[in-house]
Amino acid sequence: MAPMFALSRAAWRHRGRAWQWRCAGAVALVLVLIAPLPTPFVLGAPVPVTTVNPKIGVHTRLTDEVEPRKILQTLRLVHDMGAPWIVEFFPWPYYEPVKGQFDWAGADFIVDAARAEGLEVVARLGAVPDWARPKPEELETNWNYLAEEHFPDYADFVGAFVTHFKGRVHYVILWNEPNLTREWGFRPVDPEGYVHLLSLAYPRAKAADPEVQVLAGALAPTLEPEGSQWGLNDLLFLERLYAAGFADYYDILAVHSYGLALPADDPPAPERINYRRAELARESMVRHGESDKPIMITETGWNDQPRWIHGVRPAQRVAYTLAAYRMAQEQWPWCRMTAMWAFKYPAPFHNYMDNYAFVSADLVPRVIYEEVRDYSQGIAR
Amino acid sequence: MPRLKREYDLLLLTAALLVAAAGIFGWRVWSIAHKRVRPDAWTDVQARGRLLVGTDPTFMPFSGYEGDYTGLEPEIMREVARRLGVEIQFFAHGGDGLYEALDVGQVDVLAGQMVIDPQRMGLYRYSMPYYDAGQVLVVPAGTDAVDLASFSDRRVAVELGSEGDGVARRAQAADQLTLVHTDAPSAALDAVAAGAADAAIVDRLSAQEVLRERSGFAILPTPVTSEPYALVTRFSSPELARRLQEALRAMQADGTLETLYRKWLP
Repeated sequence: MAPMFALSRAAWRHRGRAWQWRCAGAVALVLVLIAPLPTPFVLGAPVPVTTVNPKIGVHTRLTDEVEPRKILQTLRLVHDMGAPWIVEFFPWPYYEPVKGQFDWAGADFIVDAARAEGLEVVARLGAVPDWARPKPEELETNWNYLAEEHFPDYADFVGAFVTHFKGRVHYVILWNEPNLTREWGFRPVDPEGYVHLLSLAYPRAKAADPEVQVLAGALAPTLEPEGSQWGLNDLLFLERLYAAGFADYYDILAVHSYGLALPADDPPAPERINYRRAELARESMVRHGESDKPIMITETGWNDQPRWIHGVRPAQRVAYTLAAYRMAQEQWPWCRMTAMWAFKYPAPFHNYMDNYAFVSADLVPRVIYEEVRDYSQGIAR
Repeated sequence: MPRLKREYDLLLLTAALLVAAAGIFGWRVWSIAHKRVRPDAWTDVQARGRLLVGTDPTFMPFSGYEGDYTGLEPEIMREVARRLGVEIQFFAHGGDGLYEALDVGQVDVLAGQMVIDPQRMGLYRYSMPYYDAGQVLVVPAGTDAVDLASFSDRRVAVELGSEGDGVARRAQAADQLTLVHTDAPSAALDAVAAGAADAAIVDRLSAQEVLRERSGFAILPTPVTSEPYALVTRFSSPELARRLQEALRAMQADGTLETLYRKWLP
């Protein structure tokens, strides 16, 4: 090394400026060459999911997963469980941190990896980047706060997302649970405002890819009355959506129909929250002349923390979950898919939310996973 | 001259780099000094004379709602507020919304089965734990055992699919456990009573419920897992966190907490 260093110093002193630039370039080249390369992940050709029920879906949470290997392993577990569908949340702030500047790398990896496992991705598009929210010194907001003047920005993002994923993502959900104040930025819920948002975003999605199927609604099942500080009854909210022209701005109604502590076959009623509440949403669609459009249940499920007021015992959860998947397939021709919340979280919540998971944060399958896998593979119990 | 010129260039370059580095350093110091620091929530509490508490009232006996907020946590917080000399107001949120309510300043403190989470400690302050809801080992009274490893090559009863089941499955390979699956925590303890299992893993509350009604069992002092419930404040509220902690400690010292445990927990 010493002679080389001496040679370098000599060269530096006695050659011209061009030589110095060449040296700098050579050093830079060496640094580039010796820099560690990212580990390549080879994604194979899509492997179809084997299942007795093609309507089985799960809601994953992969966009907050740090390690690519965990994303791959999670998707492999979904595939092996016999679920051909995943619903995944793609937060706007992750992909457009600066207005007009997009970084799709993380989303590309998830979508491509899912497709390699033979999974159809339903992309939920929501949350708001800092640049589209009030400055914290003016107003403290959560990341669901989207002021009306930024509705066009959300529409731009939807258009960009659909353009980028054309041919790879065929379903997008516009916003999530707008009938809850928390999901509407801790502001009073606003069905007409949501339709206005859809009226801007829906055409952008269809212009980017006429084949893409736009899901909207995704209402939280709740009985909150008009004027509640927490939200508004999903059925009332849906009626107001239709009155505001909702029908023009969606292709598939997204429904959330949690079973809470009731069995999957518990009869539907406006004052009850249960799995079959989806049938009431369907009735509303039919009443409004929308029977030709399908429903996708993008969130449902049971929680096996029995101390939670809405929880059930683990064995009940297994029974109710399997019954729900069967019901979607055998009795609901208008339902294209039913996704259980949630397959796996990137990190534990350390509360009863963890009891929704099919697989622990460190990728250990729970009993519910094994039972659904056996059902999807036709293994009788 | 050429050599002097080059050395002069190098000197200029070095000086420029130093100036740039000093500028960056100065900007960083300025941004830290002028960063908007959210005022301590204790200031707000004093100004309004009311403590805003976020809770999840769907989890009795810890927190519920029956015309008013009830359960161990609302009662602890009412007593805390009384000791702080302020009124109290509760806000209900689900388990996925409590931290957000704290983030946006809707509430000052969370008291809703919030488990101390090391990964969130840069954003929030946790008080001393007031309850550990983790899994415990229940054994026949007089059993000579310390922890799960003491049951190597023996039978352990768990509710199928429960947290205890998950823990036992992970320990199964290392400790050569034989798992006895039941359909409820009480059935797991029945299995122990009937001699079909040597111990049961259940959550502490279930264990306490059984021990209240049946004799002949003991909870091993070493928990299998720990889920410590604590009060949570924003990290930017050290004064509020300190006052809450002092109130909790005082309630522990004078027996108030124990009284509330006896009232609400088995």
